[in-house]
Amino acid sequence: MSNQQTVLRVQTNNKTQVMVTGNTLVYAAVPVPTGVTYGGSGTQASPLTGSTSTASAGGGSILDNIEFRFSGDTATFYYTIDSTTAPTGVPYQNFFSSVAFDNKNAVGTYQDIGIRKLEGSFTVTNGEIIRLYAEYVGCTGVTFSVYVVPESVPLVKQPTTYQNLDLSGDIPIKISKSFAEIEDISKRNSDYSLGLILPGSKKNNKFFEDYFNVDTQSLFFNATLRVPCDVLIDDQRYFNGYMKLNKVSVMNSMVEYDVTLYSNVGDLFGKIGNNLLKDLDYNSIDYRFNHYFSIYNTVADWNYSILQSNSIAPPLYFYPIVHNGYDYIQVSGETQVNITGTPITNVTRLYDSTVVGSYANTGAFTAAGGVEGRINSPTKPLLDNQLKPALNIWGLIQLMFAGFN
Amino acid sequence: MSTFYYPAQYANGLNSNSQIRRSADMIYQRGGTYEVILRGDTYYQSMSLNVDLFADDNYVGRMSVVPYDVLQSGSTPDFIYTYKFNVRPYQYLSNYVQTEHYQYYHKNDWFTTNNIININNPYPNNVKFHMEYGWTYIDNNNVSQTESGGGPSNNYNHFTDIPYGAALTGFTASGFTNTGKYFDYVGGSFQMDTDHYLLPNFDQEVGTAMGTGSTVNTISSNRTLSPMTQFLMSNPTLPEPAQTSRFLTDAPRIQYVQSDDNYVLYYLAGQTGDRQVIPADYLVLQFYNSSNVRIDYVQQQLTFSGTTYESPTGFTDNLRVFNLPVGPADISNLYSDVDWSTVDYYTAQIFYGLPTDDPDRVATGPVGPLSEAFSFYVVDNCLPENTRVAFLNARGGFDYFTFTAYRQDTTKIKTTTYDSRYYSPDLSSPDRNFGRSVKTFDTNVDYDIVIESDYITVQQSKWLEQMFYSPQVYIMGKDYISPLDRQDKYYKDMLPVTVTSTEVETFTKKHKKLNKYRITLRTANNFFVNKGF
Repeated sequence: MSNQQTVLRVQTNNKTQVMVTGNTLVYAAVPVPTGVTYGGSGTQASPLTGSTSTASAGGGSILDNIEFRFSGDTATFYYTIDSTTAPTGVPYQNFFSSVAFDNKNAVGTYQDIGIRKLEGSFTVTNGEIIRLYAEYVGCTGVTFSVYVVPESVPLVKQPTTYQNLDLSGDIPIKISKSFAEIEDISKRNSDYSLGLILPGSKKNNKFFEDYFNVDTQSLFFNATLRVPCDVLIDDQRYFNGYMKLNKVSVMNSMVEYDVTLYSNVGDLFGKIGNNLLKDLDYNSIDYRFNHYFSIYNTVADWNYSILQSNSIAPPLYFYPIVHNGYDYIQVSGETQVNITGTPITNVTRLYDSTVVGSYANTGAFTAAGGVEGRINSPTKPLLDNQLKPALNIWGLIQLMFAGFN
Repeated sequence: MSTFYYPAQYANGLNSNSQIRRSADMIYQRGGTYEVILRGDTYYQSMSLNVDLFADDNYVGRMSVVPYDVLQSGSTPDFIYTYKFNVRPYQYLSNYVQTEHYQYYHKNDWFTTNNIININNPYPNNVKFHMEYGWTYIDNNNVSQTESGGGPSNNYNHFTDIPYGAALTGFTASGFTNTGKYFDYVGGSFQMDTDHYLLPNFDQEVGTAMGTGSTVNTISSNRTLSPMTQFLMSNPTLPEPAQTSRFLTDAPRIQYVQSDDNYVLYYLAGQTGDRQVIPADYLVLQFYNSSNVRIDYVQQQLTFSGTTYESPTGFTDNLRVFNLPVGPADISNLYSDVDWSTVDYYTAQIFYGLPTDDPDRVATGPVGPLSEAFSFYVVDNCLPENTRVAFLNARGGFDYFTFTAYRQDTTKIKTTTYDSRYYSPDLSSPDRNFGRSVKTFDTNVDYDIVIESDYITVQQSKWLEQMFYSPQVYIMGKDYISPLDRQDKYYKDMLPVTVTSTEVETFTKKHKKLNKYRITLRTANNFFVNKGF
């Protein structure tokens, strides 16, 4: 008999069976930028639509930081920004959209450049603000159309409640924390885990909904989901983590639930589990790697302003020059790099042979053997297949934390 | 498009004969089957029945039941398929039946006490249950199909005859009436063999008059086969048949109590789910001296005209277990001052009354008895070995028994110490005053109690055996007033214990047997010690 009272407190199963469509409101913050007119209620049936007629300084039109604000339930925000009225052959189109939470700049941005009709979606939450900035050169008829589709929410919203499960004894808590090996984070799955056998008392049977009974369906309790739990000692939280049901054993009329408590420390790795990089949410608002594959997006990050930036949040993707490797041939029975073969375009080199020299014009350069697609070409120094997409590891790690935390 | 429906045997809508049953039942039992019959024009192997379970109108769970039998009838191409499902919700619902002995009552205030221990009792040891069902299957395109597109929505109703209605419906299943969806499960247990319900199939429900059509005229036209019926006495005959009883106990109806003992009777009252009102209007206590002359009489009105337990409205299912304190200490504290020195024995009995329009809602009565009479012989034990034990019995009430022969308390103490090499150069007092070098930092106490009964009869022994396997056993002290609470609030002194071992010594003389029990109890609460240093 111990004087110490250990209590296993678990979060009550969510008894919200009836799901209904949520209620989310989207509206453009006033004052809207000059020259922009809009109408509609922001629903799918009646999108919030608008257009601009004011020419920007460059002779086009501009949607200058229109703020869309959201209130209510979590929803999906769909947008269409259409500049297809722009004349073809416009040398430069620029589209830029910015996403901000709680009016803080530079938290989560997403840009797509050079897309005449941009369509997509974000998940938005209550109180969130999305800023839209779009600039089109040579175009005066830009229209936008946005609406929200609320997610399903429980009809009866219940606050998080807790209940105490029956234990067959004190929970044996032993603290042995140590500096973990940093080399292998997977070995740090959790600070510690704790196996417990819970008796099949009425209270526990209620919580696990008679999981041993093959006739019953799990209605509120889900064995595949983790149950947030605490271990309390004298009403103080001593262990915080989650509980997982491993198995149920029935011997005669004695029911026992075999559970494991996992500490929240190192929970990230437990959550990542067997997921791979491909399982990340690449449509996240904050870390959005998806983009239209266009010449504008491909070269956008080569802009000097980006390369000079000292921001801790560099572009999420980049198209570096990636040398594909050499063409190998057999010369006198040996494998060698083909540097002399013909035709000359088969030779994979960054530079062509006419490295040195000055030429009066492009024609003279070409006549002297200069080739487009070589980096010393004054006109087209790169072949398009030499720019390969690359993802920002910083962004990927951020996305992991955002998705699994 | 496949169509399915629940066929009705008669115009009254009876789907299965298992619906012919009383609504009240004991929850701890084997079987308890509810049959649902579904008929349709298509056979689906995946056909199952979703059953939503409701405890006290709260949605608490769902069962998914596969058919135990599928029948094909008709001829091609118009085959008819009949699916039969058995639903067994008892085990699941038993989690929602909670019981505790009541903790306190108010001196000389039966109304407040009644509200505390009965009307607002958080552990009433019964649950009002209903269930809703609906079919579901996965069609040939792997699409899940459910009835009416949503959750289960068909109530499972019970059917009973109305034996004393203005227009008799007859004792045939076709004349039975749909009496609604609510079932009352009481936290009692029920054994097939020892309770004389020897049915060949354990899964067969108890309380149903078996058969089809007009075969209800079995030995029991009023469904007395239900194990609960004997506790739902609303129309007693006098003297009461031996097999009926009102109080939820198997205790001998003659009890021996001491003049400061507590004793509580438990009974069911209210309206059942099948709308039979089980009244309990008056407690009648009659006191006798050794010459069998009645020397005192006390009546206490239990329910009042116009209240929900006296006059339930049409659909109200308010059947529940009631506590009725009737021990000598309870009588003195709650109902009346009685001179116990002159009382040799007394009886306790429930009576009914007649509702009136009295502004104080006082009923007219007591009119006639509604229960057997419990007799209490007041015998004070002068020895100090009294150990009164309260335990949850098999019927859902608590029983009380005093062990008077012997008691031995054993305290096993385990201490853990540590060495403390105390040395302090800045203290000048003699070292021996505080020079303790072995200090105790943990003390564990196991508190065992061995008690013995007197020689008791075999009949009493059979009843007392319920204590040995009871999940709730307490050593019961005298009522006390807590220093933390108000003066007129009497608390029960209930020390939780578990029965760890039992020995019996049998004394046989000619054809009479007497048993003497020796029981080891271990206290089931934590023992706190002064931590000292």
